[in-house]
Amino acid sequence: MYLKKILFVCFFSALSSFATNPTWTTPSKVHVSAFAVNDYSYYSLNASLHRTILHKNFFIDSLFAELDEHYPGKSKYVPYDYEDSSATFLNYKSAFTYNTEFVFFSGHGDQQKIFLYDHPITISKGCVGDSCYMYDWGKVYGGDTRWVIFDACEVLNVNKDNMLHLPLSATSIDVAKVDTLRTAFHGVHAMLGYYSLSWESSIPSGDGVFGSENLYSFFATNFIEDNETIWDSFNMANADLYNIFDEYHWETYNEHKKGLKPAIAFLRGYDENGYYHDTSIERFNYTFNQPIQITGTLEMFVMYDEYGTPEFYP
Amino acid sequence: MKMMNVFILSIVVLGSVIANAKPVLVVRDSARSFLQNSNPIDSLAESFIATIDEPSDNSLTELKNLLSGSYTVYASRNKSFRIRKENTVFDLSNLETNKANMAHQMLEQLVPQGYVNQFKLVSVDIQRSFALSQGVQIEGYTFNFKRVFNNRIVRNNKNYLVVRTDKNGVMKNAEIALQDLAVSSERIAIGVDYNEKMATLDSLINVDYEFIDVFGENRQLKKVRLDKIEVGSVAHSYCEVEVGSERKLFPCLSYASKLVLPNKESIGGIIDVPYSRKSWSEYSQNGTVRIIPHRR
Repeated sequence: MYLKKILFVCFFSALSSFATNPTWTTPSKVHVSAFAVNDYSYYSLNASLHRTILHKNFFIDSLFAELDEHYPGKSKYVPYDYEDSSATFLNYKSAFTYNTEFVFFSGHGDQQKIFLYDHPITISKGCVGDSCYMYDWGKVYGGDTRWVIFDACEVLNVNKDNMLHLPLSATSIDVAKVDTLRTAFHGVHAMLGYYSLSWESSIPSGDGVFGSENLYSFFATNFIEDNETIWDSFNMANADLYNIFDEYHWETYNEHKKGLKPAIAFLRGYDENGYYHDTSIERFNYTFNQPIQITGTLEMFVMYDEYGTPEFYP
Repeated sequence: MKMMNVFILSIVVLGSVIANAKPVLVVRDSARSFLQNSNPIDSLAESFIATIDEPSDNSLTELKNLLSGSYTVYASRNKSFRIRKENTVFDLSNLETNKANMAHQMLEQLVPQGYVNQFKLVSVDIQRSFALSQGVQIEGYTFNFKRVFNNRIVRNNKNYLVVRTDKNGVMKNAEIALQDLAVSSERIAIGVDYNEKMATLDSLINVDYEFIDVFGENRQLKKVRLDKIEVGSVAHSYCEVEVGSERKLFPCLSYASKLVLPNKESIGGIIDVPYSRKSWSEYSQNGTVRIIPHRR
């Protein structure tokens, strides 16, 4: 059944790729598939979260508010908006996200893995053959999907086990993990997330609180109103949010990982038709209007930002 | 102890519970040399407090107008704005060998002459990428400058310049935030010797820096004990201080430090400290004087 769906997705993607001439432009519509899990009681672990649903809702609401203001009339729609017990493995896996420009997940994560309500899913290589248990199949992203956001720890980290916190280097990279992440690209332009732990928190603000969900308000403003690139939009939003929390207190990092590292997995190179892509620098008004398959010299890159150590220079 | 009146938010005070838990303080030679009267400010007995005119944005507007002739100004917020211009390239050849010189050249190219000495580089963020065929490469930089006012670095998050470039120095954008600052007639004592400066830093560490908040696996904060604090460099600064309900900028010393955890991982941060244990006593007698901390 899943194989049929995947074949259908590929067929649909192929059809849509012939529907319009390839060019860089504003997406004709902005549809979002969104998933968030706070409740991790199913795993019998004391690991429940508190703000992932807020993160999801802020993402959708901020994005759509920016579109209303700067691109009135742009089609907006949320075909999948799943929270907690509805954000199951099956619902995530079977969602036809190929028809949405954004896929968003907020919850727990690990290297090339996100934890849905009832089961983790790999991002994204699965086994091949009839004997594969369905949980072993990952999910691929393509069709209309330009961008996927994994608001979760370490999904884009491709370091070897026990070396997660080390800087990128030939010795720290696990080639098999790079390959797993690469197989998630079936037309999607870029994936945003973290090389490090991600976080959720809130601080007092006036009579209420200011929460980490504001990250996505900053992102939407950067991406839609200010027309920054997709990577700069996410990276700057993280830095801005961090600085605001710095106003209240120093927030640093787990002892195993040094530094907050927002990250992006993206494609760079020439596709088989001779078009050059660097999907980290696509802007909302300048994004390729086709799925981008890894063909020609196109290659997946993983990039992160590591905040520097302060120093006073003489 | 007077320093007990100086709180730093978020740094947990548990020092009295566990004996011998205070982190070891290590001061590098360059920082030690700086503290031993290497700067004209050190010859002064007193220094003026600065004030912040919160509602006013004259400084920001003035610089924005000056830059609008050369750059596209956008993303204007309440207290900041961004600029960009295609084909603006900075020379990064000195990045590894002489950051101060490289930063000065960048400022000369970017801002009007009168503003060149109003910013000082404090940190550089690096974007790195990996691809199977390319290996690891640097993709870009973020240069974080802090504002300099009255020869002191302003230690809050509302006076800065951030310049973002690709790996070749091609500017993506720059972001600027400025507050309207003024020197007041109020002064505090700063003329103390090296030992008193160290004793002041030491007393603060003793009270406030045994534990820090770090991110845990469950995306929440958790407490981790600090093993060691290594001071690498020092600057004369203006610390953002809350005096009652008012925010002011007090002359202070800022210690760029590595906060070393027991597993030897370290976290970079700046520790803001009064010159002496008594220098703010006049203000703390009349109520709480609280430093607003900023890690970077």
